[in-house]
Amino acid sequence: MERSEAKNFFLQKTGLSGRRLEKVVERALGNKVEYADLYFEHTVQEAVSREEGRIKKVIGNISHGAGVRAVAGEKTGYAYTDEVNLKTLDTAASAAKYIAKYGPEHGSFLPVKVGGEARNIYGLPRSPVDVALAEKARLLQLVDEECRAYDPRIREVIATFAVEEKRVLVVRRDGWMVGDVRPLIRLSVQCVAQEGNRREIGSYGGGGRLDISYFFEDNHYKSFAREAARSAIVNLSAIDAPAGLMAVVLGPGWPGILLHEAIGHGLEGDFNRQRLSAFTDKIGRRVAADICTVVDDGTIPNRRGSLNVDDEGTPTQRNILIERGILVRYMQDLLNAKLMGMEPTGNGRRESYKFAPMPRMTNTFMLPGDLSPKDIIRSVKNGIYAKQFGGGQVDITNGNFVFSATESYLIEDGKITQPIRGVTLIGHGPTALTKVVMVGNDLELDSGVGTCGKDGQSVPVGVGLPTIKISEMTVGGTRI
Amino acid sequence: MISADVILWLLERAKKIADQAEVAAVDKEKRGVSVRMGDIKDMSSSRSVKLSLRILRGNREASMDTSDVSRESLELLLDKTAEMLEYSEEDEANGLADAAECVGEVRELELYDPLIAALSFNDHMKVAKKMEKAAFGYDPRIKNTRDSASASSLYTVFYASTHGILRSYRITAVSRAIETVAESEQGMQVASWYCYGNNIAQAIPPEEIGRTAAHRAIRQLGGIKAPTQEVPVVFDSETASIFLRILVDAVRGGNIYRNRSFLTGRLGEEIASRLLTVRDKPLVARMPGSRPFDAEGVLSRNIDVISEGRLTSYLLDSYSARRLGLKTTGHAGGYSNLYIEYGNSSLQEIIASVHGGLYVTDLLGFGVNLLTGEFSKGARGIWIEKGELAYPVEEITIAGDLRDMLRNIEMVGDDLEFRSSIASPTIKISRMTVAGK
Repeated sequence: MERSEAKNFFLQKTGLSGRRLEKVVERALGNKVEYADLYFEHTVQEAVSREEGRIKKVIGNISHGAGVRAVAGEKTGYAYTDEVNLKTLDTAASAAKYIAKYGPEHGSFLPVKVGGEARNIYGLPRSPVDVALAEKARLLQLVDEECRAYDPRIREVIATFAVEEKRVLVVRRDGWMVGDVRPLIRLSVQCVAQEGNRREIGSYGGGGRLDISYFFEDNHYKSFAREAARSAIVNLSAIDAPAGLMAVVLGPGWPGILLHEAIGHGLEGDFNRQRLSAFTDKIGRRVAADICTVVDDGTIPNRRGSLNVDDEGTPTQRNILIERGILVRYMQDLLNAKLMGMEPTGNGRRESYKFAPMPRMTNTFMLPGDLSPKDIIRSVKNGIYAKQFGGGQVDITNGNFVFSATESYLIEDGKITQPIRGVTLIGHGPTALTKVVMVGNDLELDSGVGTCGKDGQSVPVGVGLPTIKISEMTVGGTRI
Repeated sequence: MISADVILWLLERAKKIADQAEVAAVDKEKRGVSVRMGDIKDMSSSRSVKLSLRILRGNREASMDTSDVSRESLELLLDKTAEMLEYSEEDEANGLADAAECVGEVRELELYDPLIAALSFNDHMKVAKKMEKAAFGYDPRIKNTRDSASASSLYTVFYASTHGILRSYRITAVSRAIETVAESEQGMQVASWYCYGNNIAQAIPPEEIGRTAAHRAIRQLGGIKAPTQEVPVVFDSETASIFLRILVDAVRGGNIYRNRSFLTGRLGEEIASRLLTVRDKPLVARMPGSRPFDAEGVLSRNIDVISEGRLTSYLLDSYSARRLGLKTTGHAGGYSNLYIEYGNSSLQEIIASVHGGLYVTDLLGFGVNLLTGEFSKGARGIWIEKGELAYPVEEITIAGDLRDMLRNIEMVGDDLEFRSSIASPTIKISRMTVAGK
């Protein structure tokens, strides 16, 4: 249904038949080109922002185009156009095929497995772009009111509701086509609290491949609003953060960004094939404590990082990356899987038709252990408890990674005490997870806010974590 | 793909649903080659358009972007934008830029270089191969490359509004960048170097880019964690540019009128060391960020943001200017050629002035809060001992308060070079907290 919907959409919009498209792919093929595909995309985005107690911004975006890829050995030719017709597609195919001039003498592409039955892990009653603007404006107003009601010190609220519908269609050389229609929504809330001259920010947000009704069910919108307000109020009493090596406890959910940065990027197939990753040649080796099992799962219904099929048409799957501390799998797209003699894992993703795909994460999380979060905190004499994070980054080659806490606390004698100011934590990917000494029983997936950047391409992702304790990590505060 | 006719047609149609309207568009053609291990890795070629429509009725406003400029799609764009306008609310500061700001001489900035327009895949391949070869030739420990890339773009920029303006200009751009890996029994380190500009005669030679990247990777091999302490920190020209990027965000109109920056309300005050002067100069011929007018059609002007430590200008578009009771500075769409003015200390003098401290060459992560001034980032660099670069350090953080960092700029280098549209010489900050072991 979703698949044929996307197919029919593009055939109708371009006025081309499936056979015609197959011919375009054939044009990109030929001498030395082992594989070629076509990728069509039509994305509609809309965002409404409320600020200063009124609707401040209504903006939209329509993005439409197609890309042709030709692969010869390790080489990729890629051409795209946003004027989609037979002529421009043929030109793009010829440009992509230019790569063949430099291709190897022999080569054969991995026979692509056309995966299982059509499924739909989004299952929405309507497209998010069809929801009336009035309904979106109403959600934002309710959020605004809830934030201000939380505490009189909340002075400013910015709330944004963004929706997207992305239609994609992949056409491969044998004329095989697979499409997907992907909804995505996100609510972002930012509060400024003021006390005397001190002003602090608190943010929260989330969503997924969901309908706007999600925010009204079980008063979800209220908890989003309150979290942003609470975080701003907490920060009003934050003191300078400590500097140096200490024990770190990460709360459940979004702090799973640790996994994304510390090991996730380092386990992407392209970096390992090219021997650029600190995890190169480490399959079968210990990279984490035996209480750690880490999974990347693109199949969880309605999650921000989930997809029916990746951007090469491969169905997503649940991939165990680290099993009881041992590295078992890299994340792969078609090209890198073939060149490494491994199986594609459904991780071939791209930001848009303007880019060739590469291995990317979907939803990355650690499986729960059996300790209570309370016991974990009680075990720390001196350290910090980090609850909310901004972004993170990694140098995949030397393994250094950072993630920046926006809400964290001191732990003193087994108790959470003072909130501390914004602080960056730094670690070394291949050893960070070997220092995980306790894993909680409270796995949570994040609320649906993550966007991952790699080589200038952004894609939506998810993370998750139970409460964990890391025996020592460098905390980048100012207080020595 | 896009032409003045299409833009004027859209503007005419927009007039039927709105009092005021503007259309901005960029038509871009790009081609590039990347090389790895002496062989081609990727080749890419594209033609694309981005068109933005903004419409106003009274003080209400809505805007939309599209990459599809077929008539059918633009009709749809008009319908959608009109629908969005119904849900927007009154805001007195909304509106096109004042007509007076848009009238005058449009400067010829020589941003189009026919030599760049003529670059072929083959030319790019040669440059990319030269960069990589120079990196490999620099030291036998350079054994791997992530990417050595050369690319060229041709842009046509259009702007039209119901003020009766229709303008366009062409720009070329060439970029060269390499990310190369040093490897020894002490592990692997990656480093990159690059240049971006609109005149090929000013581009850094490929060999120099390759060697610089190789040098930066090699010198990080065997990095260790430094002990936690408070020391002077020297930012090299790359990391000083990152610091400048944070600073410019703190003076951006949107953050100022919202009171979201530690520099709100500080215009005219001394906020930094007298050694610090920051300028933004859109009207310099053949520079990477030059532009005759901004994204609202406002004619560009050169400004000083900070002059000898004094905050002299915010970066404003029309909306934020109206909110602040000021005039636009022509910065809709951001900075142009932004830089810290060079000082009179050589890099050697700056390093020699540090008894024990950090020469930071890479920064990692976000870790900045513009409202409170918190700064805490991951870092990599070289430890300075007794005035000399002694040994590499990594997996450390540097932290401080942006207000203090600005005041504590103790030396400014004479080594300003424009590798892109943002640039800084080396700068030394007298004290920051380094956290390591």
